[in-house]
Amino acid sequence: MALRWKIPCAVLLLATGFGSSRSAETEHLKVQLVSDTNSVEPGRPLWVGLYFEMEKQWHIYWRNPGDSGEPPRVRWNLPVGFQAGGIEWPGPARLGSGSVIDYGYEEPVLLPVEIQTPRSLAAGSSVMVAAQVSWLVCRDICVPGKRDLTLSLPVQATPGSLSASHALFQAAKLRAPKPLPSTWNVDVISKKDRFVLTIHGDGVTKASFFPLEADQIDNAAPQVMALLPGGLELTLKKSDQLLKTPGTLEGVLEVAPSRVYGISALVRLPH
Amino acid sequence: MKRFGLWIAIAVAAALTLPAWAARVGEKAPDFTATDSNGVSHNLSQYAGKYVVLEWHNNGCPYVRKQYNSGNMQKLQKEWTARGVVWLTVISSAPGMQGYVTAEQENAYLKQMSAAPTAALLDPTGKLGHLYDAKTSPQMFIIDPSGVLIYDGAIDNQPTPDPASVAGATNYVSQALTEAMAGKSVSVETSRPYGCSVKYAN
Repeated sequence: MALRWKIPCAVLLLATGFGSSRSAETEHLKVQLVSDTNSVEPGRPLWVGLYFEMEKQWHIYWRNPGDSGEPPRVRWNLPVGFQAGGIEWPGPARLGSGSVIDYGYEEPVLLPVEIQTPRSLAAGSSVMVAAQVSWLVCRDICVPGKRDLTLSLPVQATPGSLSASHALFQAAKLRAPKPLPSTWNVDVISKKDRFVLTIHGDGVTKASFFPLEADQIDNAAPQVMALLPGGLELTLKKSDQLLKTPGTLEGVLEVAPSRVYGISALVRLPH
Repeated sequence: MKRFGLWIAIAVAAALTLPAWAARVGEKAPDFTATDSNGVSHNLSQYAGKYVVLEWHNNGCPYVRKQYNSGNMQKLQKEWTARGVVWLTVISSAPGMQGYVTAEQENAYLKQMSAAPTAALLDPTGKLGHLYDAKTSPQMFIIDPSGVLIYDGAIDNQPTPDPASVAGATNYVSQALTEAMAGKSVSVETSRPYGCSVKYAN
């Protein structure tokens, strides 16, 4: 009786443990390696992405995870002449409650990466993109995960047709932090225990700041907002771990869902 | 729009839970009273004249397991307590949350792991955790013999649960204690603490 059950289990282990796959169903999340186009055009950028879908209430982290957690990481194994850029992180959500606040994603999220390709690729050949992905997925507890994912694409001399995942790339683009509009202005003053961020911009009536660097602001402290003519002021309590005033405050400013800007403001001291 | 109603609620809750005086490197560490897994009470002030290490702990967290399954944390505990350091493991998990242990469970764990802290402080109300604003497990604090906080942060420079990262890691606790005991200034006084969030009550 015992032996009959052991053999199917062994087969199951072999099927899931060995070899690479385009997608991986693991505990609490599913991660896939997808591309924006169905083929690679020599010399043209190839957009790929890691598409994470978490179980309800589970989350992964942003590049600055906040008070706890760890962002997903990827190591690429690419053909000669290919060069992967960094992850183009969509604007995060604020996660957690109480005194431990994190930044990350609870909803499905695509983490796009632009890959430069060489012009010397031969049309008609195919290329393989391999990614070793590691992550931490948490709810009330945390579970680290790791998976090898691969994607094979044909090489064509013409622009590739849009893949079935193109909509994911479009959605990610909307969520990516944009440069501040030229008519807007962001000013940061460092006070004894807080930064005061003043934002002047059309239609800005609320804002949320997500710092790029850890240990600058107190992530758990409420960001107190005061409306001003033409904008608003956001008070960010400094982190207890901040020992030296930084020269710039960098991060993501969310003024509305999908209105997300990347800012890098010089930190002024009060006169 | 809904989110800002939530913001107000968070602000009120935060105002009620954020410590009035959190620990800051370079300043006097907040005094505390806490009970260990043998029912013995400890105050920080009773350890004046000694180095004190506070180690925030959650036995289910992969980042804590990295340190314990490799034997690294136990090695640090033995090494530094042998040199007169008071090493206090602190468990601030609320009942029902990951890492919560009864006194009996903690003593069984210490024995099973051959752990060697001076004592394991049970902090299920999170009072000590909030006093120091401990965010993660592990998170390490070092207090010098004059009662000043000289280190607050991660255990080392390898923010990953991968056990292979322990060997070759720069251990910030050993580094700070070695420097301070030699009369030098601590080169890394703070670092982003990495790990699982401390499981305070909701």
